[in-house]
This record gives sequence, structure tokens and C-alpha cells, in this order.
Amino acid sequence: MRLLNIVLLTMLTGLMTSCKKDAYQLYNEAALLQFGPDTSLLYNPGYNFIDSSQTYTFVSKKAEIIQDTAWFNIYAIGGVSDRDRPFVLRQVMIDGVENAVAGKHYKAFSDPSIAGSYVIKAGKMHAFVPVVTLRDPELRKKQMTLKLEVASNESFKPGEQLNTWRKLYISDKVARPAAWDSYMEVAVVGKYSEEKHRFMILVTGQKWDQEFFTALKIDFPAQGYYKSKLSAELIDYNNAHPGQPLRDENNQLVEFL
Amino acid sequence: MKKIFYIVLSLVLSTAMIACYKDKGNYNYDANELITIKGLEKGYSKLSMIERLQIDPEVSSSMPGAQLEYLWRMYEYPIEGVRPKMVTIGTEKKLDYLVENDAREWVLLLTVTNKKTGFAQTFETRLNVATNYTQGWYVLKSDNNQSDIDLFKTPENIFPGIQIENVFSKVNNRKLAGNATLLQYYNNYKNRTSDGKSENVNTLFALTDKDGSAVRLNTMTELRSFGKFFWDYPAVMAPGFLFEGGYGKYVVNDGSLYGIFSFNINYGTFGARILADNKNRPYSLNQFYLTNFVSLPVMFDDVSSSFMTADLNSPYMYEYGDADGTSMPAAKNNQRLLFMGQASTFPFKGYAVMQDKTDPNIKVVASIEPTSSKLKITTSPILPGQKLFNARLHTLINNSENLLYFVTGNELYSRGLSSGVEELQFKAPEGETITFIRHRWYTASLDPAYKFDYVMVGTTSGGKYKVRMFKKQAGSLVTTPDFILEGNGEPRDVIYISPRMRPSQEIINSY
Repeated sequence: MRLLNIVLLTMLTGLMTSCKKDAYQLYNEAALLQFGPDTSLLYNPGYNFIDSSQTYTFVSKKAEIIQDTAWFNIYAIGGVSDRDRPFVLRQVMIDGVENAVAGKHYKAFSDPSIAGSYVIKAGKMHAFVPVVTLRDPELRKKQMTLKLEVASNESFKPGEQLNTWRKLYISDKVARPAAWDSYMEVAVVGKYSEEKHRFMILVTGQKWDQEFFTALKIDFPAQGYYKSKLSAELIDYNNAHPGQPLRDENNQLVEFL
Repeated sequence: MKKIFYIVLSLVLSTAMIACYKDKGNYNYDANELITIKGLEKGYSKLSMIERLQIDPEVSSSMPGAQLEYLWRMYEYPIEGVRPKMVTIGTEKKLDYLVENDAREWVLLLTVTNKKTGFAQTFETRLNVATNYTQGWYVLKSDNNQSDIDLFKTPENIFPGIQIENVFSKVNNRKLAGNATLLQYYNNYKNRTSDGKSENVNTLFALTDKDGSAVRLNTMTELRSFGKFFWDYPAVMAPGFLFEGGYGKYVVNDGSLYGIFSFNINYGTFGARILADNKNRPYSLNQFYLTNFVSLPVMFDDVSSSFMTADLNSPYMYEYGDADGTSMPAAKNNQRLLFMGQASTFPFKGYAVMQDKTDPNIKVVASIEPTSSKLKITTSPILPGQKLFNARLHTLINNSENLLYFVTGNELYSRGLSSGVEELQFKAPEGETITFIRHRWYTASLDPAYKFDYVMVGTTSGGKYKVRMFKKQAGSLVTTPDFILEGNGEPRDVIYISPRMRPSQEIINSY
């Protein structure tokens, strides 16, 4: 009797869930729009969500660079059209994080200077989506998050739920990696400061993050190279700024070994 | 009382514990076992991937009824920076091994063990591995603003046999751009292996005024093109010198110095540009240098007219200071360096030919004696009427006579560096133009048949070249060269290479 009850309960549970509607969107109505990976990775399912979030940092950019662009890939589902099809993006606020502010940390999608960029061209199914990042001083202290998603318009409806949004982390902030340790201080790069870290990233094009320092620690030729390179770059900087040598956030002269 | 009892008890017990230790001393008064071997030569020479090393020695033991087993092993003759790795190549008495090792000298070991007694004896010999490209005279030559290398093989002795023309471009499908300047050879240039380790590579460096190449001698394939010598691919390619000094390898591109510090593991990449000082003042190093593998080298900055050096562990070069008794400042001496070469390895000494920047009619021969961070420079004037005053090519006679050889017009002269006496040594035949001169020698301690000491005189005529190899006799060239290398193009440098050569001891790599 007890066994019968268990069997019945299992069957009922199965019946209750068997008629759940498939979450996937079908193509038989308006065209759909969704983000995706780079076109070279489009048919490789392992990369479907590789581009869900990106980090953009101004740290490696010269001081004169006050805005730049991060790019996403977007795809029209349901065939091509013989006319240009504009699409609409909007910001989604996320609880518990520092949300990027339009006009301050990024250029609003409706800004006339870029609004025309959000278009799937006639005969195409793919477009690059520009997000113009703005170098606000606040970014030196905080990383801001921009979540953007596809909104409906006359041309498109949002596509598959998992791919209708993207996140962009915008930053101009450096942080001391743990691997910038006492050995690195004594043997390669000297004492840490944020300005020095920023300078190193700028002049070498390297990230100087945990991964980079970890690899550098066992690469003696690279240590020698960067030691000399950084010294030379600092001398050149100071020569180019007579009377205003590079100083750190504590007003101390930046020095290498 | 109780305490004393315990002390005594512990002493008794300690003694008891070792009282029954078995004496394992050797009280066998038989004669020591001895394994003898016949048929193992002092050395072998084989071509890699072509020849087999076949040795069938006669082996006997003084112990009757010995059961012998054999172990053939080999390892790379030790070179700086790499720990030799022993490899087993045979376990039978008769060795039959296809030589597939890199071209260089290897140590071959045969260990014979008597299984009955455990007694083992090891016998050592040498294996000299060569390839088609690893031994001979290499001629760096130019033709129509392109350069290439000819190889003259030397199968029997130092005299040339078969010529392989344009061997660099034949293997690498490209010519070197520009006009040839310099050949150098090192057996300790490093390369990163596929498993990330640092390996020594027999490397021929060929430089032109616009290009260069590090060539893996075993295969003659290009290990690195000049741009890939460096961490940062250079915007301008204008090689100057390349040499090994006491602290590593030095190369100049577009007047700037780059180095590989040899006391750290490295993979053959020259580091960041070395600065003239901590203000990064502009500089441009001259093509001539002094080095002796042990000391700091002597280089010359054409911009500041200063003798400089670098230890390659610092981002900066240093100006030499003045030693007592010097007759010219080492730094900022307002001179133009026309030539510098090495006269003696130990003591480290060279000579320079210099011209005053303000008054070009003032030229001197300067002896250069480095001592630590200082130079003692002693000058003697070159008078306008002397042949050396208008010389266009120079070479010092290294480690023998105190002579400078030079070319004025199309004639080769010697000049006694003590006496100042100049003597005509060779006049290029009608129609031939002298394109380079160089003194090179090779002590060839392992291969006496390859020993040489030549003043090389390269000429060109009608797109063809001749390089005459002259011996010296009491400082003067003998009338007839030992032999002449002949080919197409204009010769600019010639070097001899052998797999058994030890570049740091047996050849000269200064001008």
C-alpha cells in the first residue's frame, strides 16, 4: 500500500511539470535581437556566454584619453531584412552595486553622437554595439557597473532571455597585487604606490596584475628587461616634465631600482 | 648514590649495545680486480644523423670467470649555463649507435661492471659531432646591397675543400638585407626549448648594416632574425657590433646598446636599451670594441667622445675614469674613433686610431689599458705623411707581434706600435680592391691539423672575391698565402668554426 502511494506521488509530480511551456523564443513573430560572442565563435556552444561581461579600464590609457569604447556583438534572429533596422538598448539598475551613471561614466545610448550606431544594417544579421565609456575621476576610486539590455521596438523584440543583456565594468582603478611582494620590491620594481603602478601599466602595456607578477617572479630575463625599461621610461618622463618629476599619491618621488 | 648508580648503569648498557658490533673490515689480501680495455680510441668524429658510432672494444678482467656487463653513456661537454644531461646509448659490449646529437663535443663513457663482484670501472673518450654545416671557413659577402654566406668545408685539415655557395639563403630562402659587416660564433647562445628550458646552441651571428641573423649551425637554419634578437622589435635595424664580454653578450642596434646578462638564466633575448647615464643622455656606440671574455668591455660613444662600459646588470653604462699616467681623458676627449682592436687578451690591452674632432689633421695611435673602471691611454701621433694617416681598414695582430696592419689605398701595410715603422706587406693585384682585413687565429688544442694564425685579406674584382690567408713570419706576411678562398661577391668578414672549438679560449673575437 505504501509503495503504491509513492508511485502515485511520483506520477503526479511528473504530470504537474510535464506541460511547462518551453522558455525559448520562437521566430514566427517579430524579429528577435540578442547578444552573442564574436562571429568567429558563434557556432561554438562553449563560447555562447563568453562575452556576458567585460571589464573596461582606463588605467593603460594616457591621461589625455577621456573617453573610449567597449564593444559587444549583437545578432538579429529570424533572417535578414532589406532595410536598416535600428534597435534600442537600455540600462538596468542592479541592487547592491555601484551602477554606472549615463553622461558621467558612459555615454547614454540615446546620445545623438552615437544613437545612429545601434542599427542592424540591411542584409546583415550582426552588428557591433559600441558603449562609450567616460573617464570620470570617480573611476580612480570605484569600479562602476553598467548592465544593458535589449528593449523592444518596431524592429525587434528581445531574444533568448540569457542573451538579452550584457554587463560592463568600468574602472580607472589600480590595486596592489599580492604578488607585488617583498621580493619584487627589492629585486625588480621597488615600493608600491598607485601612481607607480599606473605608470608601469601605461608605459609597458602590461597589466601588472597578480597573473603577470606571478609569471615574472620566475622569469629572470623578463625581470631584467622590465627593471631597465621602467627606469628608462621614468627618466624620459621626468626629462619631459622639467621641475615636475613623477610623484605618487603621497607626493613622494616615484623611483625604480 | 642513586644518581651514580643510574649513570653507571647507562654506561654499561651503552657499552653492551655496541659490544657485539661485527667487524666488517676488508681482510682480503688478493690483488685488486682490474678491468682493461683495448680498441677505444681517444676520440671519434661523426656526422649527425648520417654516421653510426660503432665500437667493439676488447675487454678483460683480472678476475677469472668475471661476468661483465656494459653501459655506454654520453653527455655534452660542459658549457656555461647548462647542466649536462647524461644519456644511455648502449648496454652491449659492441656499441652501434646512430649519432643524432647536436654538433658539438660530447664525453663518451663506457662503464664495465663485473656482476660477480660488483666491481666497476669507467673509461672515457670524446665524440665530436658535426653536420654538413658545422665545420669550415664561412665567408660573409655582399652583392647588390644584399648579403649571404659561403661555406668552405675542411674535411681533412684547415685547407678548404668543397664550397657550398650562398648557404644561408639556400637553407633559409632569404638573403640578408644590406652590406655585410661582421661574423661571430658562440657555442653558448641560449634558446628556449619546446619544454621551456634554456639550451645552448652553436650559433653563427651574421650582421650587415641593415639586417642580421642568429643561425643554428647544426642545420644552418635561422634561429632568430635580427629584429627578434630583442624584447621590443626595433623600429630601425642598423646593427653595430655583437660580442661576448665578461658579463654577457652585447649587441648594438642603431647606436644603442642591448645586453644579455649571462649570470642569470636567459633564453637568448637581448634586454631593454641600456642608457648612457641616469639622465638618458643621447649616445651612439661606435662599431669597434675591446673584449676578452672576462673583463668589462671597452666601448666608445661617438656622441660624447667617451670610452664606456656596461655590466649588463644595471640599466646604465658607465664612463671610464682616468688611470694614473694617462695622456688622454677617457671621457669627453673630443676624439673620433676610427678603429679599435685588441692587442692582448691577458693582460687586457688594445689600440685605437683616433682623430681630433676640432682639428681633423691631428690623429693618434692610442694604447688602451683597462684597469677596473679606469683606462690608461698612451698616445703617439700619426704624422700626415705616414701611410696610417689615410688608412681605411685596420686590424691588430692579436696576442703576438706588437703590430697594426692597415690598408691605405689598395696596399696593406704593417706599423710597429712601438717603433712607428711602416712596411708594405701586400699590394692588391691590378683590378682587385681590398674590402676587408682581419687577423684571426685558432689554437685548436684538440685538432692540431686545424690550428692557424692568419692575416686575412679580402679583395673583390668584377663581382668575384678572393680571400688570401697569409701566415706571418717575424711580423711580416709571407709572400704567398697558404690558400685563397674564392667566390662571388664582395667579402667583408671570414670566420673559421669547428664543433670542437671553444670560442672563449681558442679564438679571438675582437678586431
